[in-house]
Amino acid sequence: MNMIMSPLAWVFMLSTWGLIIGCTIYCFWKLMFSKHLESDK
Amino acid sequence: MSAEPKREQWASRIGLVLAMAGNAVGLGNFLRFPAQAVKNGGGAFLIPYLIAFLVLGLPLMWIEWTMGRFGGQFGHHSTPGIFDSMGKRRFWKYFGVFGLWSNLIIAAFYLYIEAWCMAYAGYSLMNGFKETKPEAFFQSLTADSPTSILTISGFGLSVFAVCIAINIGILSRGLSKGIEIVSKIGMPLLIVFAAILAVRGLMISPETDPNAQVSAFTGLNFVWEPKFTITNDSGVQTYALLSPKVWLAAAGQIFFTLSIGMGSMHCYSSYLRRNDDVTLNGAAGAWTNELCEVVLGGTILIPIAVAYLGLAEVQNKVAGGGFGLGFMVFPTLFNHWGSLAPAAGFFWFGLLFFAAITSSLAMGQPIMAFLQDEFKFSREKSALAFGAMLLPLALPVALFNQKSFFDEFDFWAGTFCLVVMAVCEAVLFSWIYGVDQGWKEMMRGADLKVPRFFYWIMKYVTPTLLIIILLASIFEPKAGWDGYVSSITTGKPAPAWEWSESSMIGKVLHRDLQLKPDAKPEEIAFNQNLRIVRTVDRLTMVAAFAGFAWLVSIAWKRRQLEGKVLTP
Repeated sequence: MNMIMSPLAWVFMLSTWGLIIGCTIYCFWKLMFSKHLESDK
Repeated sequence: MSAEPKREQWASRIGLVLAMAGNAVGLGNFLRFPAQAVKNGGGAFLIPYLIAFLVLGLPLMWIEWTMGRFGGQFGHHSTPGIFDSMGKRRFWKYFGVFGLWSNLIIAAFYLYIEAWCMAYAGYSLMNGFKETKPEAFFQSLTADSPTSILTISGFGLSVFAVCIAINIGILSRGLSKGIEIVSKIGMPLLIVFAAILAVRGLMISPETDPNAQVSAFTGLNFVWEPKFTITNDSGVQTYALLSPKVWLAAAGQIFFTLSIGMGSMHCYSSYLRRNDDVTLNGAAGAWTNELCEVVLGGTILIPIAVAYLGLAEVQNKVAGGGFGLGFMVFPTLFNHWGSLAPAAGFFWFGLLFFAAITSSLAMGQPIMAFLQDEFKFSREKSALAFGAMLLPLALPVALFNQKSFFDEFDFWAGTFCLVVMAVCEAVLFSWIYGVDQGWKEMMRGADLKVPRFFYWIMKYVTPTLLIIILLASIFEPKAGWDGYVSSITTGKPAPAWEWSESSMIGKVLHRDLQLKPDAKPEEIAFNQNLRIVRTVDRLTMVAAFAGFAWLVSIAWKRRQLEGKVLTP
C-alpha cells in the first residue's frame, strides 16, 4: 500500500468509494434485471 | 382522471437514468466538490456529506421523481402544472413558475461556461496551450477586465452562439432522439475520459516525472486525510463535525450537485407512465452522480495540481474554489505529459463539456414542455421559442463584466432560487399533498423498496433542513455561524454582526462592492456603473419571472374556457 497517504486517509477513501461504487452497481444491476425494464415498449 | 394525452416518451429506461444522471452531473462535480472537501475537513467532510446525501439528496430526488410522474398523468410536464395538480390552492402554480424561470436564467450563464469548455477542448486538441497561456486564451474568450463594464469578445460570442445553436438543435429533436441519445453517448464518454485522467494522474511522481514536485498521492491524501479540527471563519480552531459551516457546506454541495429545485427532474419524470418505477430510477441517477463526483471528481483536479504545484500553492488556489484551477492552471500542467498533452486537455475539457451539455439540455426541456402543453407549440417551434427567450438574457452575460449579469444570475437563480423551490416542493409533497398519499404514490410500481424510515425523513427532517439552509443563506453573517454557536457554548463574546457578501441580504445591499478608503477614481466609477448594471439585471430577472407568471395565468384561463379538467 502506498505510504504517502496516511492509513486514516486510505480508510476514509476506500470505505466511501466502496459504498458509492457498491450502491451504483447494485442499482444498475437491479435496473438490468427489473421486471419494469423497457416497460413502455 | 382525464384521458392521458398523446405525448413524448423515453425510448429506454437506461436512457432515462443516464439523462437524469447527466442532468445532475455538471461542472460542480469536478470543480466545486474537491475544493469544498479540502476546505471543510477532507475525509471528515465526507461524514456530513454522506449524511446530507441520505437525509436531503435521496429524499428530494424521490420527491421530485414522484411529483413529476404524478403531474404527467394529468398532462403536465412542467412545474406550474405539476404543483397545481398536487396543491389544493390556485397559488401553487405560481410557485411552480420558479421551475421555468430558474432554468431560463441558469441556462443563460451556464451555456456561456459550456461554450468555454468547448473552446478549451478544441484548443487543447490543437496543442494550443503549448504556446498560449490559459489566462491569455481566457481573456480572448471573455475580454473580462476588472475595471471595464463592457467586455466584448467576437471570438467568445461566436463560440457562445455555436453552443446555443447545438443545444437548440438537440432539443428540437425531442426526448428520445435528442436528449436521450446525447446522454447515452455523453455520460459513458465522460466517465471514460475522467477514468483515464484519474489513472494517468495518479501515476505522477517525482521519480518518473522530473516536473513533479511530489507524488499525486500527496494530493489524494490532502483530499482524504480527515481533519477533525479546522480553523473557522473567525480564525478559531473548532471540531469539524461540530461546525455549522462544515454541515452547511456539505448540505449545500449535496443540494447543488443533484440539480435539485430546478424543475428539470420533475419534467423528465413526467414522461413516465403511471406504474413506472421512480424509486430505483431515482436512486440509480443519484448514485451515478456520486460516483462521478466523489470517486472521479475527487481524484483528478487536486491530485494532479498538487503533484506539479505543491501543496501550499494549491491550498491558496483552492481557497477561491476549483474554477480557476480547472481553467487557468490545468492546461499548463498537461504540457508536462509530452505527446499526451493535447489528448489530456481534450479529455479534461471534453468531460467538462459533456457534464455541462447534459445539464443544459435539462434546462431547456421544462420550458419547451410548458409551451407544448399549454400553447400547443410543436417540438421545433418550442425549441426555437426557448432560444428566443434565452437570447436577451444570454447576450448581456457575454457582453457585460462577469460581476454583473453572470454573477447575479448565478446567485439569484443558480443558488438562492433553488433552495426556495426545494422548500416549496418538500412542503407541498409532505404537508399539503400529504406524506401518506405521497409515499403510496412513490411506491407504486417501485422496483426498490425504500426503507420506512425515509417516510419520517421526508415528513420532518428534509423540510426542516431545507428551511435551515434557506434561513442560513438569507441571514449569513460575515464571520460565519461558528463564532456565534461557540459563543453560546463557551460564553465568549459573539463576533460583531456584519452581513456576509454571499448572503441574500448581503447581495441585496451589494456588500461585495464595498470600496476601500484609498480607492482610485476609476475603481469608484466602475463600482457606480456596476451598481447600475446590476439594478438593470435584477429588473430583467423580475420581468422574466412576471412574464412566465403571466403566461401561466393565460394558460390556466384558457384551460378554464376550454373546460379542461386536468387537476384531480
